Amino acid sequence: MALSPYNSPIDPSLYSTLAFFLMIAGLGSSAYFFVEQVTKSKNVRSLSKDFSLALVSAIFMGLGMMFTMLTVGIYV
Amino acid sequence: MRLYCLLLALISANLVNEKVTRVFDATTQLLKTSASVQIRNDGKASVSVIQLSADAFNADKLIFLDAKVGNKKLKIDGNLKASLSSPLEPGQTVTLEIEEIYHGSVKPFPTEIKQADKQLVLVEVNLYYTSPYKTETSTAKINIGTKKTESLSKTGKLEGSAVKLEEKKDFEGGSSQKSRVHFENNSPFLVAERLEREVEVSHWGNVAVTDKVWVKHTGATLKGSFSRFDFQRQDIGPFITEWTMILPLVAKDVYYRDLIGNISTSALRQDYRADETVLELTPRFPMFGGWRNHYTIGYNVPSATYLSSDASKYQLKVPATPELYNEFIIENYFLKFVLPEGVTDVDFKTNFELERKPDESRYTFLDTTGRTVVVFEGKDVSFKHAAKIAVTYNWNSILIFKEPLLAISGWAVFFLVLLFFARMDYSISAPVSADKKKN
Repeated sequence: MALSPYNSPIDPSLYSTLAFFLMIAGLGSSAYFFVEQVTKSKNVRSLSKDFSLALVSAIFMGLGMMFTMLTVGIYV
Repeated sequence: MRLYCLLLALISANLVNEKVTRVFDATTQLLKTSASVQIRNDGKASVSVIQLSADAFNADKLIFLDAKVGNKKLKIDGNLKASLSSPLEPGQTVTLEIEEIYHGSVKPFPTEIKQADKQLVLVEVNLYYTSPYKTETSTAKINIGTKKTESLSKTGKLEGSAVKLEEKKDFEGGSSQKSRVHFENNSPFLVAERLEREVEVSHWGNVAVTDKVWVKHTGATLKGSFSRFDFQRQDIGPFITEWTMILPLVAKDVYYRDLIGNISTSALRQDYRADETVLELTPRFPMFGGWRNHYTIGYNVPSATYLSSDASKYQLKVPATPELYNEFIIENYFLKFVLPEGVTDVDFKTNFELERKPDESRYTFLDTTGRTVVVFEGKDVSFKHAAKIAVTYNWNSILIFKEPLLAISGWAVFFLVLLFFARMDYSISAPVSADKKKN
């Protein structure tokens, strides 16, 4: 068994940067999602667009949240 | 049959301790001895097992015994039988370097003192070298680090800051006679009554170490009330005002706190030459005899320091005990490893006595099935043990995507629920669309 030191798949020094930009993207896309939901009537919205927007927001918010946790020292 | 031969060889072993030189160190709370024993085989058969013995008057306090021939450590079993790497042929001699530590042999006497009093301690050792074999010459010295003695046995003589015991010649195995020294010793009698070390592994590149420490000043207990005014005017005495803990050089996010919160009276500095971080701790109050204290130390270390891997096999190699303070002693010792979710085949290797308890499970952030917590328990671990532990486990590295996926699906559920409610109709009137009216 040849053991080598284990490092994280992503360099921990990048966590704060990643957290910042992912959160910006996540908050931006979820804000757009909310605005879409609130300002437009459901008859003029397209379901596929809403779904894809929800998915993109979820991905950015999920990753952003996780990297924020890693940045502040909650090592998941 | 082989066992029988070995037993026979041991009983019929005709070993003689040619020359024994013992040095006791009683300058701190632990009685440390180092002995150089030259053993000759006077029998007709070769011998490969040597029976060692703890000091006759301190045998129940022995917490550490280590024997070396040259630079080679000998294997010692629970009955203090040392196995030589090559058998001792008849007529040949071998020199053992034996190190022992006794916890509780340096006894405060009187056991209660006033705040301004100095602490006196009593040490009793065997004048003869304790051994099942015959001894030809034995000399011994007790370092006490002071000239201020209260009393000595007649068999001892003060020489500088050490007590030299009478030289003994040609005595049978099992001989014993008490030799005692009563002297002043103000060194910190700090004992960690309990230590809980927790090592939490994250495959996102971090190993978090937490040490919960319960310490006690086990010297002579304080009699009467404590006066802060008198204490300000005291410069030496058997009280403990600070100690130093050694952390790894790469340690970051170090904290020192107790039940109340952060304790600000500490200093942290990096010693690059010694490859360590020095944490100077000052407790909230000076510790007098019999006083207890409890605090928590925690820090993070990059995973590459302790964790290594080969495909799906991982090995976590950590110092099993923190360097709590200079010459520390831990009475009740607990070690926990919080491993990631989904580990299998957990195994361990140590260089000291440790008992594995049933695994526990714990839920922290972004967990579903609970992390495996491997629990160990030990007793009387000292600085001399240089305790290390290596825990190995198997873990599928694809599982690292579990946490981000969990976070993403959590948010996805949130947005989909919003989407669902945004498409419900909340109007009281009949469903005539406002958009249609406009058209």
